[in-house]
Amino acid sequence: MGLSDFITAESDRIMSEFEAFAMQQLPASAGMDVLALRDHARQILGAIALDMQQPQTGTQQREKSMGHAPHVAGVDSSAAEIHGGMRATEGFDVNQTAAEYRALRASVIRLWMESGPTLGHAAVIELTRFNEAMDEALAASLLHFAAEATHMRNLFLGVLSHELRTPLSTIMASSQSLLLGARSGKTMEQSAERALRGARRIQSLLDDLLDYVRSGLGEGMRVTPTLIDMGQACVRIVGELRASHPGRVIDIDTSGDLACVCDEQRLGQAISNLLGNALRHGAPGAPVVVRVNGSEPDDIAVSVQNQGPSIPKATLDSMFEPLVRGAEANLAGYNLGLGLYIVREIAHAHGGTASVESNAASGTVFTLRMPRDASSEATSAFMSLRMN
Amino acid sequence: MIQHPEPAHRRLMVVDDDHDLVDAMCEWIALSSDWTAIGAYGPADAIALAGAEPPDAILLDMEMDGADGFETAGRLESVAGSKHPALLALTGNARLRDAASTDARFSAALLKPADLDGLLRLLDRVSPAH
Repeated sequence: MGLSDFITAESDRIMSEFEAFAMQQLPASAGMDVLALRDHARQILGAIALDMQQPQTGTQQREKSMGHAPHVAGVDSSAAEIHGGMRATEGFDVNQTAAEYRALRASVIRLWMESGPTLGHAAVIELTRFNEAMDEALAASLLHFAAEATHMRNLFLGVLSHELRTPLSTIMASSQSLLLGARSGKTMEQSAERALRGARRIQSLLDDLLDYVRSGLGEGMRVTPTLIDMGQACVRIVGELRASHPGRVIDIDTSGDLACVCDEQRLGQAISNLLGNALRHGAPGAPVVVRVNGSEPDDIAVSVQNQGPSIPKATLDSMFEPLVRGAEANLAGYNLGLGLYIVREIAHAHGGTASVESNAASGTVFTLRMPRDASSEATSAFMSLRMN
Repeated sequence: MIQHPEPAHRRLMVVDDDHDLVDAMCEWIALSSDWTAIGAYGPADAIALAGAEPPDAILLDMEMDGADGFETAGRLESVAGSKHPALLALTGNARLRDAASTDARFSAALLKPADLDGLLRLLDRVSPAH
C-alpha cells in the first residue's frame, strides 16, 4: 500500500503508536490530556495525507523546500499552526513541541515499513513528499510557537513594568514628603514605612524574576536543606500572612511526625506564595486552611485550601507554568504569574511535587509533597554548580 | 467694609487600589500645595465620595481590581453632576496611558511614577484657583 493510503487507512493504529511514543517524551507536568494530543496529531496527519495526494510540479517542490509553499486548497494546514501556538501557552518548550513531530514521523514510518510496502521509485517519491509535508507542518507549528512565546513575553514585560511603577510612585512621593518634613523638623515615620514597603515589594518582584531567569537557564533552584520541623515552619509563615492580612482567617492544622530535611527559607517562600494566592483568589469571607500532614513515612504533605468557584480543568493544567495568569486575572493583579511556578520549582529542587485540585464542594486545594530527606537532591544540585 | 473671603481650597481626589500609593500622593499634595487631597481606595470608594462632595479634580488609576478605568471615569462624571471635575489618568501601563490621552473625558494622562511638580502645574492649568 502507498504511504498516503496507508496513513488514511491505518490512522487509528498510527495514533496509538504515536501516543505511546510521545507520552514518554513529554513532560508529565505539562498535564497534557491524551485526547487533546490525539486530536491535534490526527488533524495534522490528515492534512499531510491530503497534501501528499495533491499533484506536485518540480517548481512547487522547490518552493516547498524553501518554505514558500502556498496553503493547499482544501487542506486544513492551520492544525499545525494552532498546535504550535497552544504548546507555547501550555508551557511546552520548543524541543518538546518539535518532539511531537518526531514521534509522529517515526510512528508513521515504522508502521508503514512493518506493513511490507513495495519499495520502488513510487515509494521513494511518496516518502519524500511525506517528509516535505512533515517539515512544512513542523515549520508552521514552530513559527506560531515562537510568535506566541514572544507575545507572552511582551505581555509579561508590560505587567512587570506596571508592577514596578506603582511602588516606585509610592517611594517617590513618600521621599519627597520626607524631604519636606525634614526641612521643617518633622518626623514622619509612616511615610518612611510606606517607602520601605514599596522598596520591599520591588525587591520581591525582582527576586521572583531572578528565580525565573535562573531556572529558565537550566540551573535549577539552589536549596540548602537542614533538619527542620515542617509544622513550626508553616505556623511561622501563617503568622506572617495573618499579620499582613488582618480581617482574613487562616487556619492551620498539623498532625503526625513533621521532622524533615529541607530548605526552610525556600519552603517558607513556597507556603507564602500558596497562601498569597489563596487569599487573593479565594472567597474573602471564608477561611483559608493549611494542613500539614506527617502520617506518611517518606514524605510530608502541606496543603492550602481556599473556598470559591472551581477552576476549570484547562486552567488547572497550566497553573504552575511561568507567565501564565488565570483567564480572569486582570493586569492589575499583584503578581507576575511567577508565584506558582516558583512553588513548583521549590518542590522539584527538593525532589517533591506540587499539585492542584479544584471543585465546587471543597474549593481549590494546592498540595506540596516534600520528601523527608531532600539532602540527596541538594547534593546533586551543588555538584552541577561546581561543574559550571 | 470689603470682605475678603478665604479662597475655598480646591479638592483633588486620588483614586487607586494601592493604599500606600493613595496615602503617599495625598500626603505629598497636602504638604506641597494648597490643594486638599482626598484618598479613595478603589472605584466604589471613589464613586461614593465623589457623589457626596464632588472634587475639583480626580487623579484616577486606570487598572483597579475588576474595574475598567474608562468605565469608572464615566461613572465618576455622572455622580459628580454639574461640578464637572477635571479627570487625570495615572497608570503604570503605557498602553492605557496612550488610550486615555486620546479620550476626550481626560484632561491629561500620566505614566507612573508621575513627575510631582509637573503634576501640580498640570492641576493648576486644568482646574485654576477660584
